[in-house]
Order: sequence, then structure tokens, then C-alpha cells
Amino acid sequence: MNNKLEESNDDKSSSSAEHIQLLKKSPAHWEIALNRPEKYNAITQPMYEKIIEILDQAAQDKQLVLLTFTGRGKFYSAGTDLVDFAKMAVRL
Amino acid sequence: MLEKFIGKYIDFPKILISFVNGPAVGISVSTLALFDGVYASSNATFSLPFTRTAQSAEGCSSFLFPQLMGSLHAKELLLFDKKLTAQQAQQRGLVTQVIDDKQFESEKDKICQEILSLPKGSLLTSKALIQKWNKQQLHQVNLHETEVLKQRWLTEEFLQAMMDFMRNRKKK
Repeated sequence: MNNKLEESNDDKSSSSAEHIQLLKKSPAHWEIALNRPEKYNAITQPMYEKIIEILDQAAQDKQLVLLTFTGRGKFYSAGTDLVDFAKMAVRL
Repeated sequence: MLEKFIGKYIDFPKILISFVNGPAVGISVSTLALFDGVYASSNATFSLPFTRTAQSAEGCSSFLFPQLMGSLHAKELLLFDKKLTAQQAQQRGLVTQVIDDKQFESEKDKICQEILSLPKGSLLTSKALIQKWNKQQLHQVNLHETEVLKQRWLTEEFLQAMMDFMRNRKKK
């Protein structure tokens, strides 16, 4: 694997929330899709924050009934991004 | 942040359904017991590498998984890093239904349409009723799990596991 390429992807991911897709399929149905297939949909800190924000909005929306979760690509989700996390942990 | 994240699932007042389209690991598995429905593709797998990464259970899984599947089955996942197939996850009560991967997208739409055809007020009231009896306890579990996890993050064992992880990654 090319580490340099990975690092630049990591940096990009930590500053953007495009890895969480919110699809408003109808007023009653929203879908959250984890959209970081190149990293098996591993979840970074900004992605966690974005999901919290959507859950808050969804909870308060008067018309919403159903919130669905899925992953884009072949993976559902690799869980917490350990690269993101390990960098922080080693610094502790 | 983790405690807040899990807390949102515990309190979530709408219907929450997961469509597990492929392999799922860690927090994406541990939180599934907080969903109202879990539909898995036949390609999905489920694993919780808590101990391999020198961490501990989160997502209320230390409480909900033994309830859901029995103590020994839960320990296989939570302690011994056993990876489940979609079928096995369904047998253990972690998955509502397994769907053939080829039909996954079309079945997904059907399942959502069926849910959306139900009377909205009744659906959400009944969910709130089911949630009510466990909510307080789940928040207690969440608080304790995240406190224990934060302690784990300060251990030599965890730092070693993270350094090994980074080293192995660079070798690839």
C-alpha cells in the first residue's frame, strides 16, 4: 500500500463530512449512508459528529418516521477508524 | 463524544433500521442491538475485535448482547473475537432477516415501504413504550462502559496494541 497516498486521504477525511451522506428519500424517510468505501466505511471523529447532528435533526423533525442506515460499496462499516484513533492514542 | 453518540441511539424516537450491506466491525456491530430492525445481506459478517485491540465493550453490548443471545454466545463475540456470518448473526438474534445479496436493494425498498405504510402515531408510540422500560438502565450501562473504555485507553496494553497496529499497517 502507498502510505503517502493514504495519509493525504486521511487528512482530507478529517476535514470533510462528505463521508456521511444524508438522503431525504421522502419527508417520512431519511437514509444515512456511510460513504467512505476506500476505507471500508471506517468512522472518523468528524463522521461521528455528523451522525450525531443528523440524529438530533431527525429526532426533532415532525414528519420523519423512519431513519435507515447503510454503507456504500462492499462494506457496511469497519467501525472506528483505528488509524485516526491510533495517532491520537499514541500522542496521549 | 462516544457516550453522547451511543446516548442518541438509546433515546432515538423514530424507527431506526440498519441495512447491513456487507462486513461490519466494532461499533457498527455493537450498536445494532439498539436498532428496531437489522436486515443483513448474505455477504455481511459481524465481528467485535475489542480484546484484540486491548479495548472493552461499548454500545451497551456488554448488557444487551448476553440478553439477546445468551451469555456464552455473547462472550464468543465480546471476548474471543469470533466473526459471525449473517446466518449465525440471525440465529443469535442480532439480525432480523438475511437477504440474498442480489435482492438486497429491492428488498430494502419493500421493507421500508411496508414500515411507512403503518399508522405513524401508533408506530412511534409503541416504540416509545418498548424503549421506556430499559432507557434508564441503558444510559447507566453506556456511562459505565465508556468510563471503563477511557481507562483502557490509558493502559500500556492499549498503547502497545495501537503501536503494533500502526507497525503492521506500514509493513503492508
